[in-house]
Amino acid sequence: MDNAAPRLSSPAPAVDRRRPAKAQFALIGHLDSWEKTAAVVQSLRGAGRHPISARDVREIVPFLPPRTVCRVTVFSRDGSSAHGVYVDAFLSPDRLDEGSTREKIRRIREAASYARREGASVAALGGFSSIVLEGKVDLLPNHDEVAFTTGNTLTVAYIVKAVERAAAIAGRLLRSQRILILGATGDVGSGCARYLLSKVGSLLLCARNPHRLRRLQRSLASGATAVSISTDAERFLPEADFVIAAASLSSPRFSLRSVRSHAIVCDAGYPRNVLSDGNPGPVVFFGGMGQVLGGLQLDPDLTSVLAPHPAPNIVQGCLLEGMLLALEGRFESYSRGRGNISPGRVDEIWALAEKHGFALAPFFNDEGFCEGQIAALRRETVT
Amino acid sequence: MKATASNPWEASAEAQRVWASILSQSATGELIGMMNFASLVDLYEDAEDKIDALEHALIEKGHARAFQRLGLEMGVPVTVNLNAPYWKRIRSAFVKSAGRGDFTACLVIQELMLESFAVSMYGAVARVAPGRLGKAYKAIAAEETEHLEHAIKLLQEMFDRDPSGLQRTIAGVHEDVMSVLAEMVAREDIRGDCELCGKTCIKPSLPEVSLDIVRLRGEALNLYLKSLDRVGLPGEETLQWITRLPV
Repeated sequence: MDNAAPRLSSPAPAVDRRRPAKAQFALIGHLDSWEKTAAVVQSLRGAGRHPISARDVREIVPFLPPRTVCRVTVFSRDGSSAHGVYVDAFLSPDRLDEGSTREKIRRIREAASYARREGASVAALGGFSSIVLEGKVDLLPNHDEVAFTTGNTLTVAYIVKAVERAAAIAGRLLRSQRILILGATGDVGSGCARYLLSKVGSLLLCARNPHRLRRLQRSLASGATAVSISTDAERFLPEADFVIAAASLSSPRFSLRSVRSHAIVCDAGYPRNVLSDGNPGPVVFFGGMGQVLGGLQLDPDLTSVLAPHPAPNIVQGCLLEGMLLALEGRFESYSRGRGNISPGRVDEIWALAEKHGFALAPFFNDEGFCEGQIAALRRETVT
Repeated sequence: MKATASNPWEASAEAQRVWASILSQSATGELIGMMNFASLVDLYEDAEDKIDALEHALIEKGHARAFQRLGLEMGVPVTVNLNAPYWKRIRSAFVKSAGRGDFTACLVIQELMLESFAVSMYGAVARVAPGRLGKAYKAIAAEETEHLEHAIKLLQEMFDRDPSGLQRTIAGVHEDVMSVLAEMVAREDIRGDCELCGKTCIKPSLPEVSLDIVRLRGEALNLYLKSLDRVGLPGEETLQWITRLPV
């Protein structure tokens, strides 16, 4: 470049504009553990440098302003592709439900501004970034220029489709099953309840706020399916055939000790909801996630640290919704507010997901794939 | 006993040692800035710009003198050591760039990197320093903010003309200069004696004056990154630069 001193008032003729390609979508998120955060930092730091200590990561990362961590290209099954960015809000993983809400909202607003700076037309809000806003995307800056979506509709779609599939693999009629939803009054939990209402034996709804629970129960009362509510998870856990854990928790809190061994648990929380105590118990799989069959590219390639899953191209549904909308050219706040996810919208987003090859992720948990364990439940039932 | 807003001179011996070190770092840094701006005079082609650079140098000299006077008033020794290891390395990086006639690199070192750190740290000191000391840091932070804003405006124009070229230039001096600044603000001394603190490092004693090296470092890096964002640099690049700094 020209190193001569410019005039302070010199005009700026356009000569070279080799900037990163404008993003079509932005994925606004945060990491759910310090271990993952340290892995990302170390990966960006490069192999040649000595490992950064956990203490340094905890001391430095909370001061980083929200920014693009990597560029993302997603490929549809139909041959089209869309470009975007992953913007991390750098929320401290161990302070998600404590400390200043104002500080968390400030960071999410900064991340939203960053998405606008990147030129994104649609931005998906992952994990706590939608939770602290309670879906009120209108609170975000530039919401008239960027369509912000919580991504919860596609998350719901992946959860309910996984429950349907798991029931089929386990040889069960969903219509005879008791489905417990933890975090039932949340946007994801209530969306699952509405979708499953006419398809299951009974719904057991659990959440912390009794008023919201009663309101949800009333709204579901017109169907033939029995709907029971409780603020105490322990009351319902021993009764459930399926458990959908979709509560907004900063760290795992639900023990499965009282859950029956034949039950199937979908942990759809980010961060996770279910405590892993190492004891044999029900089959647990991580839900709410899809797999991009057409492929995903990250630059820099942080796949192994951002998505350390046993199969490639597995991503949370909320983030996939942003990519899906970009591929469709539908730059709209598809999921917004709380309690607005209807079965019709779930069916619509699921059809789009199938069109672009955003398949249901294979069943897996911390131990690896677990479809075999679900299939074994059928054998247990038969024998 | 901690310094009070009404009477900074009642600070404990350790707090006085901390203030002495802060003032010494500040005065030395300002004089390095003075020399850097003076070097820029030769690099500018336009007479008005040369005058501006010289005026900036004089402002930095004024800041250094102000810090020395404050030390005298407080009865704490203010050391000026232009050969203090960290500052010498920063000055050497600047001189190297000036020797190449690389105006952009010089601008980035002095007005983006050093001023980002100065604005952030002076602001932090201004929030806790008592009386005239606090007022002085606040006023000087405001003046350094003007320098930073001036640099960001110029660099935005350069980025519009040649984004990849400017990115390469900043990446080069980031390695040379930000590594030194990162060592200076690391939780523990990486390279040993800074030769401005006295016998022992004052970082562990910063809480004596309600400061904290982790927060100082974090806020300085935050402002530096936000400044780079405003210039237009891609966030994923600058994030990598930060993660590779010494800690």
